[in-house]
Amino acid sequence: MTPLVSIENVSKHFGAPSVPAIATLCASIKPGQVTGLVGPDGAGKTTLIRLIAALLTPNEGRINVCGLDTIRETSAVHASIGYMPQRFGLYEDLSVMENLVLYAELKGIALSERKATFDRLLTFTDLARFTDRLAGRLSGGMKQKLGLACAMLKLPRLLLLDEPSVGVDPISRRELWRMVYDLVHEGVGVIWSTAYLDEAENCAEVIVLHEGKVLFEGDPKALTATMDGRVFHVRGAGADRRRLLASALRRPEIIDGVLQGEAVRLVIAKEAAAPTSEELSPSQNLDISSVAPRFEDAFVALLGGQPKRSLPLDTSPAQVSDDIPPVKAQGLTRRFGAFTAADNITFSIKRGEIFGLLGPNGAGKSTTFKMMCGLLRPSSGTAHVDGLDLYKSPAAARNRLGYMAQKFSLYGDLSVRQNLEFFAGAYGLSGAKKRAAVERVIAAFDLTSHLANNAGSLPLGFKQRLALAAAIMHEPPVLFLDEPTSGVDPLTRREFWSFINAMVDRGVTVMVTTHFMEEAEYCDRVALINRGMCIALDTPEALQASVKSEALPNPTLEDAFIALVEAQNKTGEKAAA
Amino acid sequence: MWTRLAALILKELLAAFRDPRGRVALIIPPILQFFLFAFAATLEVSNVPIGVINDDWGAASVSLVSRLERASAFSEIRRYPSLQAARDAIDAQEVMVVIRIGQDFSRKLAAGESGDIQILLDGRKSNSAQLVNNYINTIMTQFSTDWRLGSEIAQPSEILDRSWYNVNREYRAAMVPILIATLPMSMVLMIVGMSVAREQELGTFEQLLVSPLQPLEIIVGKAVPGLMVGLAQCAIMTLIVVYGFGIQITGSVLVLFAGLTVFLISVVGVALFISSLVSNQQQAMMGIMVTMMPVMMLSGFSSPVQNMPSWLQPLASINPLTHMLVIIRGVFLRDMPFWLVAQRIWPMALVAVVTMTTAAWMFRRKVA
Repeated sequence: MTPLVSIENVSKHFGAPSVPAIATLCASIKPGQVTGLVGPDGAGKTTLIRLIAALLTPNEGRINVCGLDTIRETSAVHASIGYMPQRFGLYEDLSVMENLVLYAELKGIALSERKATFDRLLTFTDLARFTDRLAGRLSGGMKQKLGLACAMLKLPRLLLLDEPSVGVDPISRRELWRMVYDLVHEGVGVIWSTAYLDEAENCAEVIVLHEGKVLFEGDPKALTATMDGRVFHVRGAGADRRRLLASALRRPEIIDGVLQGEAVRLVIAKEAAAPTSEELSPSQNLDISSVAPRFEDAFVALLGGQPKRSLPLDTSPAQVSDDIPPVKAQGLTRRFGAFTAADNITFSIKRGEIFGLLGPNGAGKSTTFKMMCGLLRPSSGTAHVDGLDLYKSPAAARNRLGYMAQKFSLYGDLSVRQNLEFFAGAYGLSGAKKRAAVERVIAAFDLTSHLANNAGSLPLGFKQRLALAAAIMHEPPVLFLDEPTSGVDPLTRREFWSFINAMVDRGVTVMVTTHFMEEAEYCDRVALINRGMCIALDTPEALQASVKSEALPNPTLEDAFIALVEAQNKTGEKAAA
Repeated sequence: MWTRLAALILKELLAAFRDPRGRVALIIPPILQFFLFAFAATLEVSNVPIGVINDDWGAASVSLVSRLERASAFSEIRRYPSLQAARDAIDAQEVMVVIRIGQDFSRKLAAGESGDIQILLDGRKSNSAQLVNNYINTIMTQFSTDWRLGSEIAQPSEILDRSWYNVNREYRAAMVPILIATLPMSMVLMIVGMSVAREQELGTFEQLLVSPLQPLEIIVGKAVPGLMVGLAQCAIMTLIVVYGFGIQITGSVLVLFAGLTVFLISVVGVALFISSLVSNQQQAMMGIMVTMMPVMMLSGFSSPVQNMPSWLQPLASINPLTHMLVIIRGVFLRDMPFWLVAQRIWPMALVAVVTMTTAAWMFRRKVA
């Protein structure tokens, strides 16, 4: 079978040739299947897609798309592909239908064909009910579907999707995948780029990119299979599991480890012996069982495992006043006009617990989170942080919490040290106290090498560390994180969570909002928010167990999420009917 | 509270000055604008050609034309044989004024009667033509006075005019000092008006809102750096005006800067009010533009407030720039006493208080 795309020795650099975005890359992409382009942020995925789409010219090498050369036959390439960039150029002030008409004009689709094409795409994307809605008012998932529809106005031979699942909740993500499989059945070749490694398992083939180079090309299942017998779940450590993970990672034969609810997931080096309970923790009787590997295990192993280093995070205990829960939501309700975004949400978080807020886009998860941070006044109900009412004594309550926003939100034009000093000052630290706090976080997060650099120019991993450092400068007993590691490569994510785990060990309480299942797995308990209500609140494992059925003998957390949300949507519709 | 405020102010100043491009953007454009305004925006008319149709050719008319030729305002006198030729010249915008001397001009003057002169003006350039017309009128008056002196007829009373405060009626002395207020004003509107919107776009504003900073502290933290940058610009411009253009300050520098400080606080208040209404930088830009034009037009910057219709005048009196221009002209051209300046300061202070309070209230609502 002739490949749909063949890439021969392609190099592309944007600045100095010594830092290539793509370095002498060879790959081929077959028609009629989904090829995953997998890699962390900054791996070169977008550059490669733009090279294939003939929007960039390679510095060296050549790319052949559908038998056409991307350098010489640029417009012919454009005519035979569909391309959906990361942020598809939807006009947010136009309705769904107006966007479709506009793109139909741009692509020169004859008036006579339009109705049939629109009907087909609207049915396909399930957007027919929303044709009059402004694109800016659609949820993240619906926007992506509309973008996909616009990219497919002319059925292309090759469809390039650049991170279509970013900002999309698990349910919409499944729908996107279903749509893409339908296209593959019609013979379209699809390239799907993603930073979410679990999506690799949906692809017939993957190209794993890392720093502009191909780490692996082929069947993802074959790569995952190389990890058979090397992945273990360790249970029974209870509250000590974070310390167990940290000590296990210091062992040479253990190359990777993460927390998954109650269990610690460990990956051993090739041909190493399985870990035993005595080795990991002599004082405890641990239950160790081999589990099926995931693509992510193989990916981390390809990169040589988690770096072996432990940062000297200060271990002095945080202030403890155990009779009051550090975070407490009581009947939180927020109405926007007739619409109730959050309806009577109640939960309380224990000291030293990681608590997750999960939910589909637009379900009220962010509304709840904002009310807990003091950013949005509830219509009724109360939010307490460390015993202080956020809306009665806001300044005191805010002093007790640290907040890290979803996107990097520090001052990019200021140096690392200036950012730290500003946040220390903003939290009322001055003089010797301020200097001590700044020095403490610099040491804890190993920021010395970047102190004078502008925060905006830091590598992603350092940005994350800086954001976290700024958030905990005033030693808050409570930490709120908004999708802290979405789109981050697995190694940076592990590093980030190792910081969080160390803080939780000291009694810091953490609340995370996410729809990224790998983040949810770090949580002790999760609250599932749907249609403004809290529909489930339990440990991840209990949630998984609650949806176990014959059809789903081994549900993942994502399966649980989808099953619970869909069940509630059904009862909700019944109640409405 | 002081720690938090100091941190905020330092952060704002760093954000404005750390980036080399930012530094250049704060310093170069205002100075460039300053020189452009000072040299280009002049209302004076000099070195223009004028046309003459002389149907007379008597001694009086020749003497009049030679007098026109000697006037420094006119670069040359173009002679046209006929009205049609003069009309074509005006149509082609070669001249904007043509003087037509009647056939019997010399004869009538000799007979002690008044001679006929027609002045044709290009109405498309109404302002400049009007000015040229004034010049010609002055020359004509002098001419006829001198002519009568030659004859034995009794002399009518003579008008001697003298401009107080700007003795030579130098246009620059009246206009250039005004830039000390207008340019920093636009700069401060930009810096302060955009800064909140920029933080909202970057997501850092939320970061501030979850910190113990109070809305009022955020307001002050944004206002003080804007005020500092604005005052620094005022100081630089004043130095240029005094030492670069040689325009002396007749009154007290202290009084001038007291006025400028209150003025800039009111501008910062307006900017904060705009930024509390908008949600992104584009909207902030629109808001600033929409505010800046009327503020300029209604200030008496180019046309006196007294010439505006009476229903517009109250608007001009709540415009801080109106008052500031009075103070600047007063301090530069005459020694305006402080009690007069104070009458101009309190309306600006009122604007500052109202806009700041409203902005603080709006920010509080944003949080809630």
